[in-house]
Order: sequence, then structure tokens, then C-alpha cells
Amino acid sequence: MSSDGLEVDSVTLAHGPVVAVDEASLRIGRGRIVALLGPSGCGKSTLLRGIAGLHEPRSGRVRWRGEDITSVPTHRRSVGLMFQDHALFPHRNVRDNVAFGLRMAGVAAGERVRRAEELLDLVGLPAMGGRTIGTLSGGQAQRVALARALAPQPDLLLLDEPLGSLDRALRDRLVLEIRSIVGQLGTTTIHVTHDHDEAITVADDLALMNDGRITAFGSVGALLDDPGDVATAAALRLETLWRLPVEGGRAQTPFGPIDADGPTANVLLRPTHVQVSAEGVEARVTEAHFRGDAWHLTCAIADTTVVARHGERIPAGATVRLRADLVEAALLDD
Amino acid sequence: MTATAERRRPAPNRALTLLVVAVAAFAVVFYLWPVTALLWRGRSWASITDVLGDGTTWRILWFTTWQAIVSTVVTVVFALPIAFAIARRRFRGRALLRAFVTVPFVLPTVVVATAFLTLADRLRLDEDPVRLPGTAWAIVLAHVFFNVAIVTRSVGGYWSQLDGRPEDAARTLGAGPLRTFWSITLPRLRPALLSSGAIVFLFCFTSFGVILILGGLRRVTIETEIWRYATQRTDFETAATLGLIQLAVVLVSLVVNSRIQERLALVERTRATAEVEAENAHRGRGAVVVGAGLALVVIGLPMAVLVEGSLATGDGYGFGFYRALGEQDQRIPLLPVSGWRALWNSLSWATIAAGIATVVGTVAGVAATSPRRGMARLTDIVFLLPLGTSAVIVGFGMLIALDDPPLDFRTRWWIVPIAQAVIGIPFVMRSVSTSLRSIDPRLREAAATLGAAPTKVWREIDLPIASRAMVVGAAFAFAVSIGEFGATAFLARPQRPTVPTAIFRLLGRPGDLAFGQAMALSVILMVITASAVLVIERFRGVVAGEL
Repeated sequence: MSSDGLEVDSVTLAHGPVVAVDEASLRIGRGRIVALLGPSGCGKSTLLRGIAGLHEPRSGRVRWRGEDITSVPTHRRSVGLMFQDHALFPHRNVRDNVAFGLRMAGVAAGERVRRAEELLDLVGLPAMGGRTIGTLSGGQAQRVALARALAPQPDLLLLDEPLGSLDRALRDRLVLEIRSIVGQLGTTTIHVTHDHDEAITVADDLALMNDGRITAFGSVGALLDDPGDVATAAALRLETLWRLPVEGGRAQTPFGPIDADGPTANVLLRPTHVQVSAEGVEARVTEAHFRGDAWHLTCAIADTTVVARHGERIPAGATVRLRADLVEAALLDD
Repeated sequence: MTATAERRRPAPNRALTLLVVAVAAFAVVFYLWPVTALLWRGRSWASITDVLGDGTTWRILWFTTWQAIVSTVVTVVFALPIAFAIARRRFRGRALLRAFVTVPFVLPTVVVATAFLTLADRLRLDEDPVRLPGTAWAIVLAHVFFNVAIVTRSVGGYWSQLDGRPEDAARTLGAGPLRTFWSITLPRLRPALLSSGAIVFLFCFTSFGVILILGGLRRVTIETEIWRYATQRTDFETAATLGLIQLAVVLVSLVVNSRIQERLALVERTRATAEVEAENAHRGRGAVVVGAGLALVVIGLPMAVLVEGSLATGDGYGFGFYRALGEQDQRIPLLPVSGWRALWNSLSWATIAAGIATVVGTVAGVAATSPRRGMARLTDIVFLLPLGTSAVIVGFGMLIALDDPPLDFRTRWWIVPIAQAVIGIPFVMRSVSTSLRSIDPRLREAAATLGAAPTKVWREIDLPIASRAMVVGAAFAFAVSIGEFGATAFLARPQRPTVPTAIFRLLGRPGDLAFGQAMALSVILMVITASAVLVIERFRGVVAGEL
């Protein structure tokens, strides 16, 4: 079966005797933005280098629109790769960095300058073409690196922890910008990150990686609603996850029973589905964290913990009443 | 390794191999063979026991060693405040101060010696009660002047990236500023102090021009003894044996030094220079004044006095000595040719030498960073050796080894620039290999993902970055060549002197006119080599960690 985008077929990549990526397979549709999420050292950057042709697979194939590109050298692959610390060419100015790929493709000088300026506009750095690399701030360097990777209009854009070295506030802003720029251009993109928030914000699809293997792959919405198993839920930091005994085909949650089978059940009830209300189960607030636009209240009901979402801060120690939409609870595999 | 490794580090392989073979042949003919042939002459057991059985040898060896040690220690003491001023704080005129401090390093030894003779002359330090010339102190002072740049640059570079927080911690724990410097900063600087100190020791141990001119007849070292045996007594065997002894001491001290450095290696957190400077913006103002003042006195005074002396013609100031360079004194010619002719010889030979050194040094630098480990290591060792070999040995070796067919080159004029190139090559090679090693491999990968084929990656990334290092190396090689004295003294024929050999001759003649012309030629050479420093400073930026 051929795919219209990128197909990674049982690719194994090794550093000498150490296997970094073990039979990884991915199928990415054209124009999709995929986040490759996993802890540091799980092999995600190596997989990206394998896709770029910078690391030769020990086995497996890489295909683009059905065509095998496994042995095509990097410079003929039409991939744009953006490195964690940018790897901008220090001996060229901003414009020449951005225009480099166009020059390699034989685009005429005037056209190169025009396109480079256009891209600098797109990434929000108009009139910065003449600057030298050493004078850029971290955020500016990151935008130049993105513009440089995008300039030759690559089939595939690979972002290797592009926001890794930036501070939180700048990251949050740039994540949204990357998403909107790449979305506008419709470039197929793989975004490597170890930050689940960043992954969820930027991507259409999520690929989870652990210990050299792809452990889950699906659209963001589907994986958040039903991650399928406990490990995936943990990787996405999903709350609240209970492991409950099953008696008579039912597991007893603090908000009532739900149908389940087996000796125990893994029940996921996300904070969106738990509200503070006038009536409901009594609970004591133990912690309150701000998450973007609402508070996540960690509450104790007897000796079980549950996280609820609420518009206002309720201090730790206060007593509240909670109501839950149990129909939204998901049962996960071990 | 694999195809991937080659893709990552692409170099036009066959062409490179051919170039490396050509460069290796150059090294064998003009360096390894002459030096080996010379040392081979001194190998006989009789000669060795003869030389070692002579008490004079041991006295000379002792003086050579202690003057080198004292010179090194005093150099470090003077260099520390200057290094602090340059490294830790940003202030107006810092770039100028840095360039200024570097000038002595490229100044020819005969110019330094002339400057100190002038200093003694102008400050009346050449008559009782204080007779500076001919003493060990004159030698030590000249060595300090000469080598302060090495310690300042190396320690300063290291210091400018050192995290200041351990010092802050010591201060909060109750240590005063001096105590903090002594017990925290100084030990942390030890790796840089030791490595630059080792280089200074080596330079002082094999120093030639300074000792020959300032030491007079009484203060002699192994290096000047080799020269004396070779040229005045024509006892080649003893000269060669002394060369062997010198080589042995140099090798032992190199081994000892690398052992000590390994033992003392510290893991330091380094930080961006800009951050360190920002933190230090408010402190150490006094140390900057001390450092800059010290630099002005130690480095500026001898140079200023030299210029003043060259213009003081006895009846006020003027260009009399400079004009005299063009006039041939018919009765007793001070020089066989005019001073301007010697300058022309020097300029053209140094240009040729710098050209050869740049080509050979660049190929060697590329080979030394090649992914083929064996070739890389061998190139590294072979082309750094001249840095540890005394120039006298190189020149003397060429003189006696390139005397028979098919290698009968001794009387050819181009043997002089070749010898100068041999001494300049390590500078180019270090500069180029350091800059190639400092290239982030991801730059090459980034270029590949943007569509650059391997040879194009080399042309777009490696070449432009290394080319700046080539300019720096070429400027160093030019400055070293034009001031080269030890090897040139053997190879330049009396009728075709270079400026340094002409200065040496003039210093040996009596009279104010001869000394005046020596000062004038020294000032001209100083201006030329100082311009090379400007080129070096201009292109330094991307070249990390040159000498």
C-alpha cells in the first residue's frame, strides 16, 4: 500500500553497537504536522536524522510519496531540517543564510533576495537581512533558522527540538507561530520535542516514542480523548488516572460506578469533565495549579485523588463539592 | 567508518592525498632530513662524554635553565594583571590594548635586543654603577617583554570564559579580594598558566638573538654555544652533540609538562564571554588601571625608547640614521649592501616564505583534521615539531645536510625563504586546524539538507571559515619570517643580508652611526611586524584559541 506522504517502514538506526531506533514505522499524510514526543535519549532525534538522510539506517526503508528514498543522499532529498541550536552559518549574514538553499537550487540572485526577504517577513523579521548572526537574540536566531529551512520549499520540514534553548514565554509564543506559518504553507512537518504541551499545541498528529520504539501514533484529539493505554496517558501527562478493583462487572469511582471487566480497571477522567458545583461529592483541595486559562485543582475524596478544572483559584485546604461526567471516562489498557 | 561518516566530513579525497604526499615530501627534505642529519653527527659516544665531561657544559646548561625559569616566572607575574584587564572587563580602548600587547610576540628577536640596548643607552644603564647589557637581567627583561603576549592571550582567553560565581561564593564566605584571588582564582587558572608557561619556557630555553646580543661574551646558553661552535670554531661534531643535549632537555620538559597538565586538569563550567563581562562591569576597575599601566611600561617603554633613539642623531632629532641606510660609506662599509637593499631582501623573502608556509600549513591543517586518524595524528606531530626545534638547529641542519647532490641547495638563494617557511608552517597549521575543528558538524549537515552536495559543503562551509584562519596564519608566518634570525644567520650569504642579519652586523660595529642605523632598521622592522598584528587582530574573531 503506498502513501501520499512520508512512510517510515521498520527503520532501525544504530550508533555502532547501540541501537537508537528499533524498527520504527510511521505513516504521515501530506501537509500534516506531526509531533514526535518522547523523553531525552529515546531516539527521536536519531530518527529525524535518519529521515533527513544524515544517518544511514541499518535496516528498513524510507519512502516519500511511494518512492524509496532510503539511499538518496541528504542534499537531494528536499528536506528542511531545523536544529536545536539553529546551526546558522556564522560567516554569512541573515539574508545569505536564508537564501543558501535557494542558491544551492540554482535560483537567480535577484529572485533569491526577493524570496529571502519574503520569508523574513513571514517569520516576523522584516528588514533584518543585513544583520550578522552573532548579533541575533535566541528568538531571532530561531526564526532565521525556520526561514532558512523553509526557503527552498522543502517537501518535508523536520524540526529538531527547535525551541529547546528558549525560555518558557518565548516558547509558548513561537510554538503558535510555527504552527501558523507551517499551516499556511501546507508543508508536511515533523516536530521533535520532549515537551507534551508543545507537542499538543503544535501538532495535528502525535507519535510517542520511548526507548527507541514508537509506542503510539494518532491524531491529537483522538489520543487525548482515549490514549488507549496507561503508558501513553502518562507520556501525555493526562489526569486523573485511577487503577480500581472491578467487582461484579463494575469499578467504583468516587463519582459512582462504571462498567468494566477484568480484576482491575484503569479509568481516565480528564479535568475538563470534573466541575466544582453547588451539589456533588465533598472534596478537600490539596493543590491548585494554573494551566493556561483555568485552574487545575487537585482534590482528595477520602483517600482518592481527582483533578478538577475551575475558572477561579480555590486555596489549598478549602472544601468543595465536585460533579463529574462519568460518560466521558475512558478505560485504558495496562 | 561508514558512508555516513564520509558524508559528514567530506573532503575532495584524491586531490587531498596528492597534496598531503607533496607536503610530506617537503617536510622530509627541508626539515626531518636536515635536523636528523645534523643530530646524527653528534651521536658518537666519545663526543658525548667529551661534552658532558666538561664543567663548562654544565655551567652553560645551568644558566640556560635558570634564565628560562626566571624569565617564565617573571613573565607570568607581569602578564596576570594585563590578562585580567583584557579578559574580565569591557572598557574603551580594550581592542587597542589587546593588539598592543600582541606586538612584542611578533617582534624579531634582534629588534627586541636592539630596543633593550637602546634602553640601556638612553637611560644611562650601560655604564657604572648599573651595567645592564651583558647581564642576566637584561636577558630576563627582554624575554618578559617578548613573551608577555603569549601568557596574556592564552590566560586571558581562558579567564574570559570562567564562571565568576565560585569567587562570589568565596567572598560571601568571608574571603577578602586578595585571599579570593590567591585561593580560588589562581588555582582555577592553573591549566592555562601551565600550558602558556610551558611555551614561554621553551622559547626562553631555545632563545637565540636576545642572548647573543644582550648576553655578550659572558652570558651564553646552549643555543648560542651551538652557533659559536658551528660558525666560529667550525667544530660541527661538538655543535651537533650540544644540539642533541638541548633536544633531550626539551623533550623531557615537554613530557613533564604534559604529565602535570593531565594531573591538574579541571572540569570548569565555561560561559559566554559577554555574560562574564556584564557581571564584572562594576568591579576590578583598579586592576584594569594597573594592568593597562603595566602593559604601557613593560611593552611600551622599550618600543618608545627605540623610536626615540633612532631619531636622536646627536644634534637634536632627525632622520639622519634612516638617510644613512641608503648611503654607502666608502671607506669602511658597515654593510656590504645598503640598508634598503637588505629591507628589499627581507620583504621579498618573507613574502615567498609566508606563501609557502600558507600553502603547506593549510594542507597540513586540513590533513590534521581529516577523519583518517593515523594521517591526522602524524601530520599534527610532524608539523608542530619545528615549533619545538630551535631555529639554529634548523638552519645549521640545512647548511650541512643540503650540501651534496642531489640535495645541493645550500648556495641557492631560495633556501632562506624555505627555512623561514619551515619555521612559519606550525603557525598556519595551528590556525587552520583549530578553526576547522571548531566548525560545528551540524553546519555541514544543515548545508546538506539545504541541497549542498559534499564538495559544495566543503566549498561553502569549511573553506570560507578556514580562509580567515589562513589569513591569520599567513600574517603570523610573514611576521615570523621577516624577523627570523636563528636559521637565517646560517643560510643568508654575507652579500645578501636580511634586515635582522644586517642589524646584527651593525651592532657588532663600533660607533654611533652603526648603532643608529641598527636602531633605524629595527624601527622599520617593528612597524612592518606591528602591521601584521593589525591583520591578525582584524581576522581573529572566528579563529578560536590560536597561540
